[in-house]
Amino acid sequence: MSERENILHVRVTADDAETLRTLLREESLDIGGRPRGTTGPGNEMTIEAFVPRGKADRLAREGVSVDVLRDATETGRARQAEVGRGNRFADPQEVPYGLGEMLKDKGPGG
Amino acid sequence: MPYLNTTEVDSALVNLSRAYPALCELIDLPEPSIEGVGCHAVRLGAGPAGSRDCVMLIGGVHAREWGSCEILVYFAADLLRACHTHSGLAYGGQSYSAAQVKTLLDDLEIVLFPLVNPDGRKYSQTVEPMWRKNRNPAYGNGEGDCVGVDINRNYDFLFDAATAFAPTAGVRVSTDPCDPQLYHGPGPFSEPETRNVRWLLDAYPRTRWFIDVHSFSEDMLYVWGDDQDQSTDPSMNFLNHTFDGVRGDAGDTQYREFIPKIDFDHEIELARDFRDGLQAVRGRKYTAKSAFDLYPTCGTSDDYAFGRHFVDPAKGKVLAYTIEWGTEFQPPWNEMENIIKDVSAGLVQFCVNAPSTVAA
Repeated sequence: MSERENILHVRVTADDAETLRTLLREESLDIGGRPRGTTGPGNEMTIEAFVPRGKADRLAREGVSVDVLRDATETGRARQAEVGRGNRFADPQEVPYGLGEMLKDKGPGG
Repeated sequence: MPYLNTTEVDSALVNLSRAYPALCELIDLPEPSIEGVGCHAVRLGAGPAGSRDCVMLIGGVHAREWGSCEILVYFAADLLRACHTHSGLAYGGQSYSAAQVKTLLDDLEIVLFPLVNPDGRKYSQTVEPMWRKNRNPAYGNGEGDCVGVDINRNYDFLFDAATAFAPTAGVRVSTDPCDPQLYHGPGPFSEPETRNVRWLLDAYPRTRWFIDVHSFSEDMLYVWGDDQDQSTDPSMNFLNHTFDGVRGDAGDTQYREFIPKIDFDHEIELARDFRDGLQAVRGRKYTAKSAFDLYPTCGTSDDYAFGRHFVDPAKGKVLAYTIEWGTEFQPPWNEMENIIKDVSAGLVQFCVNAPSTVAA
């Protein structure tokens, strides 16, 4: 199997929704997240995407800019070090606890 | 406390069911994954199975979206511990009383299936972190990107996108087995992972609410995903072939997907409840909005779950959602802990208010 190209996490910003829609139709983009308006000028729309390193530059065109946020493959490999080894619940008596704080006689809540 | 590996997700569910036998039942899913991994869900609730309306939550569908499993496992753990110890629950600035937690588990069933795609998660956590699909090698040449199906395109909802959608719609799906992300499989429910979810929906016919936990974009999405919503023309719906070839274009009026007004109102109401409960934790502002945005989707779990009632009116109506948590697929664990608290608070709020959307 050939070595895979690293994936970059990029932010794609288009002048308007139609330009972004056209880009998404023309390019097979791996989208992470949903389109957003920006605080920039006019009707700019932005979306985050994951593209092979060699494709990132090719996305930029009239009305479309591309900013590289991070190397997603490298970031992901670093995160793999944050995955549990073994089985912390191998002991049947080992009960998982969540991250909420237990409150006694608190209300009304919600 | 790092991310859970696939073995740990399953062991956590088994141990929760052992620790709280009066409140938590382990459910064996009927089909193992392609690589032979058995799957479990859990049913939370004080009543006998099938005696209450049910909130169903699934996660771990897309392999790289690691935190979805932890959100559901720790959400279950919090509810069970709080109910067992007669405690309330707090997440940052949001709190729920012991009475609210107890009522929730007295009046509802909550079915959680935290790891739908164990093979994909294992591959993402140990080999290729950006992997999204399952690991089925049967449809391409079995190598590289030609492995796997996008589980969240494999449900039976407008599966034949080329027929159902306008050529200009840009629907987010692929018929190419070598597409690295969006291959929808050779047919609806071709994959054991989607068949397990369908089995759960069939096995718990009192499911009234369904949430598929994904990342990312800090959104709470409600149906539909194939086109914009409308509540005025019931004939304009996904079952009506008259509208084949015109679905999915944004901003047009040729086609918009019908949703009864009462359902639309309830969908929005609960999405906003989730958003507000979450925001009170530490101020994160999620957006409650339609799953359809600039582009359509098809074959997704939420549209399938909501659409079942329209295909077969004998099936109960299921208000369906997709959560998109966070701002990246694999945040550092310390940030993932914050996200788990955020989403847990939103889910409690959702469950507290959900019964209000069912007619007495």
